[in-house]
Amino acid sequence: MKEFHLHTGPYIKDKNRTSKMMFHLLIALIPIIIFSFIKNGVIPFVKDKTDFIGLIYPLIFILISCLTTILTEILYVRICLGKKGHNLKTYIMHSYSIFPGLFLALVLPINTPIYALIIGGIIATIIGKMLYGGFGNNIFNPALIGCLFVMTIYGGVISTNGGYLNSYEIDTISSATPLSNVALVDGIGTYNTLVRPYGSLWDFFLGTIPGALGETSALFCILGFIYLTITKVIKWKIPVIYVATVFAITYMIGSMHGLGIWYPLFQILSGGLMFGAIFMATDPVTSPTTPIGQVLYGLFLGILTVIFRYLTPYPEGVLTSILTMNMFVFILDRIGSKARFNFNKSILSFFLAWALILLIGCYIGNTFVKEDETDNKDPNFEIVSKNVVDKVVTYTVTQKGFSGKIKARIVIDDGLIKTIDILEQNDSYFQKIIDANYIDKLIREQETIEKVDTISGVTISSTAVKKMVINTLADYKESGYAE
Amino acid sequence: MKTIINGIIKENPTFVLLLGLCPTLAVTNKFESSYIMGFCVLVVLLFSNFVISIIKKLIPESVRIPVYILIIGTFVTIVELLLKEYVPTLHKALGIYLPLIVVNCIVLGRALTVASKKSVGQSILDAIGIGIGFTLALSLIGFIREIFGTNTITLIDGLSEVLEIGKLKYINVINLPIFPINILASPSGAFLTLGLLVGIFNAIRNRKGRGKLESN
Repeated sequence: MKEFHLHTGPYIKDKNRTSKMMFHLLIALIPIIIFSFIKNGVIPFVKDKTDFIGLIYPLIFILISCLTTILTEILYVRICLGKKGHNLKTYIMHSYSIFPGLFLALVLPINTPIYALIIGGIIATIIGKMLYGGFGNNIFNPALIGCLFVMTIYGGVISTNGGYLNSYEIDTISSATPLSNVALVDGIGTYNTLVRPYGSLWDFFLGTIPGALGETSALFCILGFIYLTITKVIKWKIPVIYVATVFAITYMIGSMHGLGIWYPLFQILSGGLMFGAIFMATDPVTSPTTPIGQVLYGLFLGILTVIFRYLTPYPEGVLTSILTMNMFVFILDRIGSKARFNFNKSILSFFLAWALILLIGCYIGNTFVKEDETDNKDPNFEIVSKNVVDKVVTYTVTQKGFSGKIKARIVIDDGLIKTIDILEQNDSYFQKIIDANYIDKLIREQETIEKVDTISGVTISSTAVKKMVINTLADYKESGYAE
Repeated sequence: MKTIINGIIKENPTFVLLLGLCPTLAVTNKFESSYIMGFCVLVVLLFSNFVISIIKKLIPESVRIPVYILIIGTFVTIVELLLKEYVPTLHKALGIYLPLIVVNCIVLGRALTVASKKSVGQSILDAIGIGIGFTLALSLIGFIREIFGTNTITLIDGLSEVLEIGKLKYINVINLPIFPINILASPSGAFLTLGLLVGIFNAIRNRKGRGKLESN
């Protein structure tokens, strides 16, 4: 088996260099930690929205996450690998178990419950790192594995607790993060719907927008990038090409609708793109080591991020695209090492990347419709049939929901909704809508239906049901059956 | 007795041989459906091993696999029709994985390696051991997935119609904020649980093996 063993990065044999690299990484992260402390702790405290615990809560949050990963790793090494005393100490000194915890805390929203954070840390360390053989052998970024678990298991709890908004933002900002705003707005959106609620693009750059603990400030991420590139800790190619690809594709999409340069800037400054590109995608263990491999890695990361952001119901795509591309690092390195002597060997992959960029740009640009062009008609809404008996109209309508279409029969009598029967839906969480008696609530409060809150955890489907009812009512009024 | 224990521990079809993974991953989201699935495989395995070991001398070498499949298919059909008649809810829950026992590699594998070579008694004992091993493994996975994935445990739900006892549908077991870990109830949770259990099983076996070597 020995000859098939793939060596894992970092390749530097001198142990002092690895620890120095990690030291530089820590220094680059300190401004981000301080910024998130000021944004999520100090500002709400100054504005009198929180108490002393709330002031230091961001720091406690990060500290608990780091302690969890360190303790989990010590226990795992002690129990499962059976190392003791001096051996244990050397192992822990050289496995840098603080970083998964630190990154995990920085990519999670502030409203994550502490137990979810601890479970995320344990999963990140054991499943993401130790089961693969510890530091240097893991295929996937451990912090992202932990984050993925926390978001899939406790996503509902987090969004009920307030999602990404800290105690100050919860009062001042009505909508969620900029990107989940994109997912809710049908079509591409405009400057007023996307950027205006959070200030200007300058705020996006500084990081005073809602988001996970460490990922909002593009400024400090870029400063960290410059520092890490000067100290030669990370490979500059991956983040630069990653962000440039996302910029290029979104610029294409934006320019198809006549949107200015603000649109691609909005896309690269919002969400975890900057933080993910600079600190996550460049993780020395889980990224390619050959130059051409790194270029391809960045290109495909950008393509996948755009796909995940636009074509899936999930607002953010950085986490999933980095985890997906982590799987292909081995293949990219193979292409890269062949192409080092003969560039033609990698031409096929580059061709594929360019073709995908063009294809996706054109596809998304053409399928998504700009808001004000739609003439107030919802493109996701469709009337299958209607049966008119005097003033009683029985509609069969469909509305695009979280996954697939929601089909319903709605009976309107004299302008008032009598019954709503959901005939078909594919959302596995739809039961939550039924459990919450949401449909009865819609019928009960139909006079003020626009104000009915959506249900957290099934936001998209409940919004779809609400929109379906609103659209049906609008059609009833337009057709003038009531007169 | 040794053959039975061998089937449960040393040659556990799920954790050691890694055979029959399709039902292992697909039907173990509820405790009840897991042990019923295991039991169905046990029954099919028992009868097919018995019949094949009786007629093994009559079957020509060149057509043995079609003949085995035919015999296994017969018993699977019997089990399926019985379940459909008496426990329709369970039949629905097991779905396509019930007829798929025909191509379950445990059943065919045991027919090829044991029933066609060994005596009738040996084959029956082997079928019991392997069947119990499979049932236990499936129940363990189903138990873990249901208890942590949905907080409940379904002991007797579909079966209560046959046994004519009151429904013990769901028992709410844990009430902690960290549960349910709903990813365990989804298909990806099946892979995770199985992988971790196989890992733990192997770690224990390795440790025991090492201990033996050292003592020798």
